[in-house]
Amino acid sequence: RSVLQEVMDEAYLEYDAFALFEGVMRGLEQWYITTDHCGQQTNPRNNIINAQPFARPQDSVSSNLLVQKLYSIHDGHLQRIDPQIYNHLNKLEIAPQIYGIRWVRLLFGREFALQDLLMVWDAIFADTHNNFPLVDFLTVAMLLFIKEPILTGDYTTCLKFLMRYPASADVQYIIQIALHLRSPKTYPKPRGYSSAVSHHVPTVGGQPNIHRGPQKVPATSSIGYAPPGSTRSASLPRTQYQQKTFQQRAQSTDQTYSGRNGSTASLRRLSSPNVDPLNATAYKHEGNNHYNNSSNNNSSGDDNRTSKVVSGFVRFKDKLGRPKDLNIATRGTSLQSPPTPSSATGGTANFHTGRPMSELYVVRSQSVPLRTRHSSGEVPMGQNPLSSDESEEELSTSMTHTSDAQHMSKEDLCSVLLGCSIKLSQNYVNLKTQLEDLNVLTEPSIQSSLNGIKEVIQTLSLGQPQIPSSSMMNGQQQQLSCNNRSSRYEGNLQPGAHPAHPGTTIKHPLSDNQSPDETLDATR
Amino acid sequence: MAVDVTATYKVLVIGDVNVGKTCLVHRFCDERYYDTYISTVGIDFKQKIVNLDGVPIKLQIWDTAGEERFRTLTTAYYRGAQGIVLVYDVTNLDSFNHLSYWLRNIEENASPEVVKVLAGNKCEVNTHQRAVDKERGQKVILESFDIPFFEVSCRGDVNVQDTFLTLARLIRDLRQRRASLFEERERAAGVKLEEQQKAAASGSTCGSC
Repeated sequence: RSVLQEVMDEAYLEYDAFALFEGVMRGLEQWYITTDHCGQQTNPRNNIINAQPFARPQDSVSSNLLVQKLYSIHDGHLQRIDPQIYNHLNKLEIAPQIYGIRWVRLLFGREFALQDLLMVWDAIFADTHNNFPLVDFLTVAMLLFIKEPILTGDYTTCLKFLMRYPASADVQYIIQIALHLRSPKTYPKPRGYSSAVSHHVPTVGGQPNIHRGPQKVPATSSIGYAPPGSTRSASLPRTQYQQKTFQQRAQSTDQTYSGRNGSTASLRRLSSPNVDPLNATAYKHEGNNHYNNSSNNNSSGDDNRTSKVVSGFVRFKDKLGRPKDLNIATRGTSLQSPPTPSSATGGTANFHTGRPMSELYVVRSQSVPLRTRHSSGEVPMGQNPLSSDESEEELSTSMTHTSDAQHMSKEDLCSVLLGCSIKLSQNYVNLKTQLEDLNVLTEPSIQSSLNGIKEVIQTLSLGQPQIPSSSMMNGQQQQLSCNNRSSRYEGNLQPGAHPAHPGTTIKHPLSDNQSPDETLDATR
Repeated sequence: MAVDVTATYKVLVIGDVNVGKTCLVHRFCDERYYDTYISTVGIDFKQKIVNLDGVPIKLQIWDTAGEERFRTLTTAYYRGAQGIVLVYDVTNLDSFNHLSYWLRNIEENASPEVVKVLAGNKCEVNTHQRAVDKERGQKVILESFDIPFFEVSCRGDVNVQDTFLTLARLIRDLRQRRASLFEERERAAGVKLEEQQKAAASGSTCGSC
């Protein structure tokens, strides 16, 4: 056994998890410690003596380490980096505790979807210091990301954006800003961000949501602005919201995308149980029109839309996530960064991705994908060293009008499935010839992967009308054993699969299930 | 959103951990009950526009964390609160006994005029699961504190709307009373001024005579 196998031994999963948790909490502990003053009789005279002139009332509660930290972020970093936001928040008297406690204490655990959160945590934990200095800059970067709505919005809008961080947040961009703010010399300024002027228009603003489904353009009057899906409750499981808002979301999606004839999504999977995780493969993001040439593009390496992939990530199923988020088991056993939106579509996240994110590294590679579900005949579980060669994993499929799936007839759905299978088989053939050219077709890993694709094509062409096309495609292409996936995926598989951002719908199954904050625009 | 909101009231929901503060807020705002428990960290924020006797009023509800370790932080949130919903759990005696702690906390941190309502949550439970009887709750409330009291159930949607509407009504009444008091004073001051002017005028006429 290699050292790596030893380290990644599944038998010690729980031990490892605990050790990691302990390590994390060692850094976080200070932000949980509070001293309870309320019960004690404090001498008001002391407060008066120690009070600073013009001190805000909340300043006096400075014995608390977390509050101190939040104010150091607020008065230190934020004031220096973006005085506009700083002044505006001060003017509205929104103290950093109001949003910051949750952000910092949970390391942004409730502000991002799990998929995105893992990226954030990777960046945080990769830092050399053990007290997570990146947290400060992430906080500022997150504020910068929503600068526009903060500055233009009234008190309520501000709070809404702060307390329910926009679901559309481009987590990669935020991390890039944070890294840049932390060490400007090492990390170049992300494109679209300039410290002096504005900037990056958040996706909450007009762009169709890249990672998390469509968003609506905010109304010019800040008061009336409450787009469905733009916000989510931080305190409730998303599934509940998803159920509640699904109908509404589907409608809004139809409106948003009614003009679109069809969109292409590229499905990708990266499953590498035994591949050296430290050599996580760089993964190219393909424009939808170029997937036929995927191999060529991949080898060129000059595409600035490259996104790094972290392969063989933490085992998801039943191990990670909040109680209701366990369906993440359905979204894949591998993790990769969200696709970097291309500037061609006026993408809002034009950050520089050519630079490798060296901070992202693999936690554990033992998560054998549940791939054998459909291809168990060909691929015996446990001994298939699935390659992470990107080209063979690149599955492209076109999903046309998937959000209309509900309103479509059985025949229509069937033909959608059939169309998918045709598209897929075209790509399959292309892929195969290219692999042949590379003389790697005989490799068992590649063979098994190809067999898997074949299985998918076959299953798709057998498309059953009673099964919602969306859940079928997702479920089978990802080849995962899923529980209650259909409802989740239905909300997710809108034509939000933007042509230029293939794969978005697949990779962020949770992301679209954000709750529109209904109460905020409740008019009852 | 075309409703013209005449006023916004800031309402704080406080109480021990796991008494159902978040549930109460969600039941009120979303008219939904969630059976899952996810602890609130720091503070959460929700908003609902209620129709108070034909007048739309925006309730800005701040849902606080009940954990002891968060209590210090909560004090910063009291600022500007016009109403407070104090919640305890009828199946949890401790949460009831801690009411005095919370009331002291309110006294220390909130404005003296803040309007309070007490809610005993989870009242749908059987009698043998109860730790605090309704009578007992009422008695203590009447004896110790003069604040409206409701036994509520988020699961069964009992009294939840009433609790918040009562609070909103009390806030409105207080504001109106204050406003009328202010007007009265104004008027009184105005009258005085007039009298003075008259006096001055008559004095001057006298003086001119």
